[in-house]
Amino acid sequence: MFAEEWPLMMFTLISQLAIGSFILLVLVRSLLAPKDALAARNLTNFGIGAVGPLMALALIFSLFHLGTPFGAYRSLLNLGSSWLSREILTAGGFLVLWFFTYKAYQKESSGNSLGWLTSFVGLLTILSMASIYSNSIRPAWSNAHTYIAFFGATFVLGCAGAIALIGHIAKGQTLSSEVMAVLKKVCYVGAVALIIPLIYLPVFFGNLNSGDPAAQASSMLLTGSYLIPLIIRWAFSLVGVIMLTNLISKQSKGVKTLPANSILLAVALILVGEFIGRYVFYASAVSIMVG
Amino acid sequence: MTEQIGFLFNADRCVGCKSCEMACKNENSTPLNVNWRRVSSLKSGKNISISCNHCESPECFRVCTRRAYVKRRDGIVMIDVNRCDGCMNCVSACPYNAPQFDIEKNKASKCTFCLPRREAGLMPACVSACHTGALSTINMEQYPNDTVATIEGFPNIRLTKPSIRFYPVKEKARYWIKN
Repeated sequence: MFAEEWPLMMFTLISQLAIGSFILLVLVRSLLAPKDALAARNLTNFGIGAVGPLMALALIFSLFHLGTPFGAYRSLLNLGSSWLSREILTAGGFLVLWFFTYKAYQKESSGNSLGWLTSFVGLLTILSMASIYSNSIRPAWSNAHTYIAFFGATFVLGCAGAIALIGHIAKGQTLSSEVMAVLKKVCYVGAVALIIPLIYLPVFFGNLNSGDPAAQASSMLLTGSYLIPLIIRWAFSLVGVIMLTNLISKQSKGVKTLPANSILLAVALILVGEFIGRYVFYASAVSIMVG
Repeated sequence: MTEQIGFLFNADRCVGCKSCEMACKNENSTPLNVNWRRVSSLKSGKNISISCNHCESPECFRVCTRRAYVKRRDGIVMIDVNRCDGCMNCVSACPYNAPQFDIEKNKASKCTFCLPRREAGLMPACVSACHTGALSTINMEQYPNDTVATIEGFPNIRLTKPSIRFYPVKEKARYWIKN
């Protein structure tokens, strides 16, 4: 599985990281702008700039999934019914809009409406991405769980990405309490985005167990050979998000700096957790096919 | 749509000889790893021969990003191989494994209902090769009354509405073994 599908896995993970980081950086910027416009710009511009290359990297990965990569331009012909077509359009649209947002944000006085429009297109990309898997012949995917997992991953990865990118720029700086308060909110977004899929997990297993043979086979895979990876995935993600939230709230009371090493450790835990989670997502899908 | 041509399969008659598979391979010269028709065994011990079912609402058609699929007026679903760019979306969307991926050409291909033979007034190669008469073609608008839409072991038909009918599988008559 891994050998064939790794470009696809990397595409979904990296694009969700890019889109999530972008949305949360725009959120930080919007929340900070009325209080401290200069800090809002300085802290987020680098991060927003980094999102584009990340998204471009994801799109390049997705090309390797094609048997004939030079035929990729034909991928937009069936927007009427193919979610994959819609995903490619919205992912490309996000990248184009990112460029304009990035350019606009370079200017002194720029509003956030373009940033929110780009974020909206980013969310549509995630929606199309989840719909590809949700409208499939694999019961483990054709489930609300796919949407919850994909949107959850977007915001968890986005929280990790946004804080890592802000932390990189704010290295050694003492931040104001307003900035710390906003960063705390970002952590809460990440925590909620992690907890909702975790709460839904028993429902998901219940659905699979009461489903057709292919669904039950998926459930057996998840509670059998993929149980340990699944536990590691949730342990890593939970520890990562808790570490990050704890770190930010501690710092906002104390010295108000962002300790780079601890942040990187927490972010690495979150990334590895989501990576394992996505691997299990792909590996546990059993098709309803004959033979 | 003027008509919908389809297959009729009788699992009780099928002996699993794979003549249909071989005939398909001969007729269409498909590569080694591409099997437009495949025979597989069911849990009940019966065999089932499956190719593209030229579905009424084909998933391959819906998910293809390149509009490489067309549904003809006679109901046959065709793929334009020149449009395919090998994303394998259709391969993983079809419940019947009909689009087959050619790893040398990096493109998908599938059963054409033996279109050239059909134009010459012949049956598809698989149907004419079947020596037990387990496989035949029907017009889906006028299927025989004693047939059913699905049998046990066949994937859920609600998704794509496949153009295939089955004779109901008969309970095996046991004269000596009592359960």
